[in-house]
This record gives sequence, structure tokens and C-alpha cells, in this order.
Amino acid sequence: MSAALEIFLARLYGNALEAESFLRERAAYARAAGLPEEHLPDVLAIDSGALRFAAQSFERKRRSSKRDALDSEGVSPRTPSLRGSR
Amino acid sequence: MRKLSDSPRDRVGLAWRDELAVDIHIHLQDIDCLEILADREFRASRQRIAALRELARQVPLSLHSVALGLASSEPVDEKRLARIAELASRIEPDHWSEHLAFVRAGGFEIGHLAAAPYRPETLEGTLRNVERARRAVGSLPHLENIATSILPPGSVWSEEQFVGQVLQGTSAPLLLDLHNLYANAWNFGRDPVELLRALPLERVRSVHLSGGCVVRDAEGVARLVDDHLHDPPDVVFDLLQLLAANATCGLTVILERDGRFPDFSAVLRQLALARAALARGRERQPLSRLAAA
Repeated sequence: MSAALEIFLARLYGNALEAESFLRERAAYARAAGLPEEHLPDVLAIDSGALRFAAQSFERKRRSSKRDALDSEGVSPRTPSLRGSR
Repeated sequence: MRKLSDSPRDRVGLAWRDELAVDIHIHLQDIDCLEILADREFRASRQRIAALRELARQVPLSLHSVALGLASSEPVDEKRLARIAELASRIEPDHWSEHLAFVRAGGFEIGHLAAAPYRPETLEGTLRNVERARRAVGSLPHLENIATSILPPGSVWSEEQFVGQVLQGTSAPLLLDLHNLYANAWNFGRDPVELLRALPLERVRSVHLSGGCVVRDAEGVARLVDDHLHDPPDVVFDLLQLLAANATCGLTVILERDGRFPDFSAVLRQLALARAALARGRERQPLSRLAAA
């Protein structure tokens, strides 16, 4: 049943607001999200500070990745062509 | 892939960033190897691919992937694998690599590397995914340990136990990120040397060096973040020395920097520090700083 736990974690890591909702009402949130009962103790034991920090960190990285994606499409004027030889 | 991976000598280089392009070309004689971020090149022009291919002929090139999500009970996306395979066939790197991380599940995109629960179902899924990746790309990826600020809930193994079992089950080489290792040790109150020694060091073929910074979370807890925006701390070079003393093969060492780029002379100094650490390790010189810490 690791897949269900991964999906649940991806939901929390992928959206800092979801992580906050979970932290407000852990058991109710987990059950509503369809997490199997066997994993309930695992998520009830999550360190709130660590989860908040992780979710916010992923949020920042998603924003940064979007900027990188724009760069890789050639939008950034800083991007030089790969020329030169040794 | 080019047939360079079994070269026994140590190599020290850095991750390609466009911001460093000019300096990299000017100082290519001081750089043994380079790493290209695969995900940034999927939409690269033909000219750029040709330039990368040319670069791969001048210096051993690693193709580094960040978004496959191999360490998951979910199957890796075949389309993503096909893109890596196509890029590898066009650039002909020395080898390719990916993280032991999950990045999505059930339609939820995390958007970055996360540690999946270290448990049997994840291990089984990871072994299947690595095999799928090998079939698609034509060679096994070097598998990289990740930094995490949260212990994966539901884990029944430690990170090193999980990594060890993945390597045992796949015969893939280990790409050991020493700052990720150090950050995890720092954040979870563990001894980085003990953590290093718990890994199968004979399987390490490549190494990442980077830096980070300590920040306080909303509850005031200090956390070491692997941000690739700072110089590698001394302890990372000490860990490299320790690794070199125990590694049985040549190591490809890559310095990673994603921003706040220093003057290139500082980058070259860090490459020199890495070479010196490797040399000390190969000579089995004692570790003074870590031992004293």
C-alpha cells in the first residue's frame, strides 16, 4: 500500500496549502483523502515543522523551475550559444 | 554512451550552466568532465544539441536527469524515459544519472525531489523503474542520494539501508552527493562519517559537491538546506577524502552551482580543493578536521 501513502505525501508536498489543511485536522484530512487506515499512524506522527518547511521549500522550487523552463526556451537574453572549441 | 565509464582515474569537473559557458570554454584544460542537466535540453535547438555533442567529444559528459521519479512504487513515465533516451543518443554522454527520489504520484506533481517511504513496496517499484530506465536508455543510470528535510513517513528502513538495497537489486553505480549526505546528517542529528561508511562505497562511480545554508523554519528550528548557491563547506571535501580512501574505482566528481555564481577563479579553486582531497584520500592520509570535529 506504499502507493497510497506516496500519493498522499505528493498531495501534501505538491501544495503548501494542502499541507496546512492536513496539519489543522490530521486524521479527518487523511481519511477524507482516502488514505488507508494502516497508514494513519504514519501520517499522524509527521513532524509539523518539517512538513511545513518541506512543502514551502517545494513551492519555492516549483516557482524557480518555471523560471528555468522559460530560460531553456531561449527567453533569457543571458543564454549564450554553446560555441567554442578546445 | 561512449565507452569512457570504466576509466580508473579520478576526474574533477563541474555542472554546465549557461552563465558559466564562456569561462568553461576558456578553462576547459582545467576541467576533466562536465555535467549537463537533461531536463533543460529537451527542447534544445539542433544547433545546441550539436554543440553539446561536440562538447561530449572534448570532455567526458554526464547527462543528469531530475524528474523521472525512479524511487517510487508508481511506474516511471515511458515518455519521459524516451526523451532521455533520445537526448542520450544525440549527445552521446559518458553516462547518465538520476535521483533516488519520487517527484509525483497519483497525478499530484511535487515539482522537485522528494524521499519516498523507505519500505518494501517502494524498493520493488524502484527496482522495476531502474530496469525500465536501463532498457529505454541502453545503460543503467548512476543513482543519486537526495537531501530531504523530512524523514519519509511510513519508512521501515533508514536511507542508507534503502540505497544499499536498491544498489544490490540493480547493479547500478552510486552517484554520491556529499552535500546531500551531509545535510541529511546535519538535519537529523547523525554523524556524516558514519552515514558515509554505511553506504556501499565500492559502488560509487560519481560524486556531487555543492553547498547550502542554514535557515530557521517557522518554529525556529535550524535546518541545513542544499541550495547549490553557496560554496561547498570544508566538511564536504573531508568526506570526499574519506570516500577516495575507500572507493575502489575512479571517481567522476562534479561541482554543482545553480546561482550566485562566484568569480570563476573561485570555481577553479574549488576544483583544486576537490583534486587535493582525492589525492589525500588515495594516499590514505589521516582525516584531521573531521576526526577532530
